[in-house]
Amino acid sequence: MVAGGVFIFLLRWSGPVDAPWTVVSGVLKESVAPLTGPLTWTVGKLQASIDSLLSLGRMRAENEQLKRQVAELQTKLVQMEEYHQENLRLKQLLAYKEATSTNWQLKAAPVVARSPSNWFNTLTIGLGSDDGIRKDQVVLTPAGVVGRVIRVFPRTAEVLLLLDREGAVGAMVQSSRLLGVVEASSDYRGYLQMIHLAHNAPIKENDIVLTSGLGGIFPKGLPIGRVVKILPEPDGLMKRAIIEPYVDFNRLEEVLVITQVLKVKEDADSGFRTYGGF
Amino acid sequence: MPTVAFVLMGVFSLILEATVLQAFQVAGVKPDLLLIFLCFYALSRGTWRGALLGAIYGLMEDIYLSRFLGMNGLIKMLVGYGVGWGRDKLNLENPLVPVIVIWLATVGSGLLFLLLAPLGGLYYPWGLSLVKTIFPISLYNASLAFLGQSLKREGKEWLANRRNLGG
Repeated sequence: MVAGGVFIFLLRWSGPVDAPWTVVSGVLKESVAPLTGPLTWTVGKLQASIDSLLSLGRMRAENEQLKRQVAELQTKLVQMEEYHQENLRLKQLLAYKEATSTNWQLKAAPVVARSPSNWFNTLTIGLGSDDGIRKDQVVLTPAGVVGRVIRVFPRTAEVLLLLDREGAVGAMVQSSRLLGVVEASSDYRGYLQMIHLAHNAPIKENDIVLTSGLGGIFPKGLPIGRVVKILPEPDGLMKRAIIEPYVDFNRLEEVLVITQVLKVKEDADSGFRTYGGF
Repeated sequence: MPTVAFVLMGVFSLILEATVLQAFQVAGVKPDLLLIFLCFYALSRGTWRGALLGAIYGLMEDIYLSRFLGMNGLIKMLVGYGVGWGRDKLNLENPLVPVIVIWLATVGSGLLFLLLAPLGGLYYPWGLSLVKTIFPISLYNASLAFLGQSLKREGKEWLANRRNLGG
């Protein structure tokens, strides 16, 4: 009864939050604070460690799943970039196809393989006789001439590049209408050369070289490349022009095949002049 | 390694040369993997078997290229025979020997090509072809052979160490 009475008294007396006795409580808390702080921190850490240990298996599985997701997303990203690049290239091919639709019919073909030999320059395209591809059809890109079809199989065809020793083509200089033959250069790898030019033939650096249409395979006016150097022949009577092809033969992924010539492209100036041995 | 495995490796190499190796050109040339495998085979099996695999590899190339059938067959057969001749005469314990043999075989095969090309109506300038094509391919082939030899040696040592540890 007495104790109950004391407690009821204390309860009544200590009611408000800011009662004077809380000073005692504050002193007590302050004095044990240096001990309770680290203790609480340690207990917290311990609890976190225990939680981590308990959830390690789950986290490991989650980590594996996230890694898989990252790998999948990276693959998808690369694939998306590939599709994007392919889309750009195909758009370019399509634009070219539409722009030249009055001159010829074109078929886009993927490049599926290259010549395994270092001596020959050919490539294999993924269209064949089943798709209307025939021997001697011209292969090009919007940048310029690639070569001609030399062998046709039902689903693939082999293309002889201009860079091959046997890939010579009749050509002319756009500005001067100078005619000549363009073939692979033996001393400038990856370049072409216009040969048998008289020493006074009107050709200079940066001149644009096009197909001449002579020879019956390549239509007239297709871009081949740009003259980068003029070299005199050892006999002093002739010279040759080194040509940088417009087509990057090492990076061909899709090409266009001229399946039908509808109208021969006519240049404004058709007054050909021949020089040298052509 | 059995001969059939070498034939299959040849087929695989041909596919690689026609596709992936285009992206690994150095100085405008790609390595001749078939020639490298042929040399390793001929050095371990001798003249006749070297010549046989050389003929098989060469014909495979000719059929794939569909140009001048028999040219690569003849060249690789002669190279296979020639390299096989060195089996009993060279110190094959020295890891540099196969590398030098492959370098020489590549140069020899290039010269044979230049010699035979006019038979097919193709005329390549000798000097330029040597400098711009044959030497780069020979160096590329020799480098790959050296790399292959080193990997093989390291692999053997690693296996031996593992066996010792296991024992």
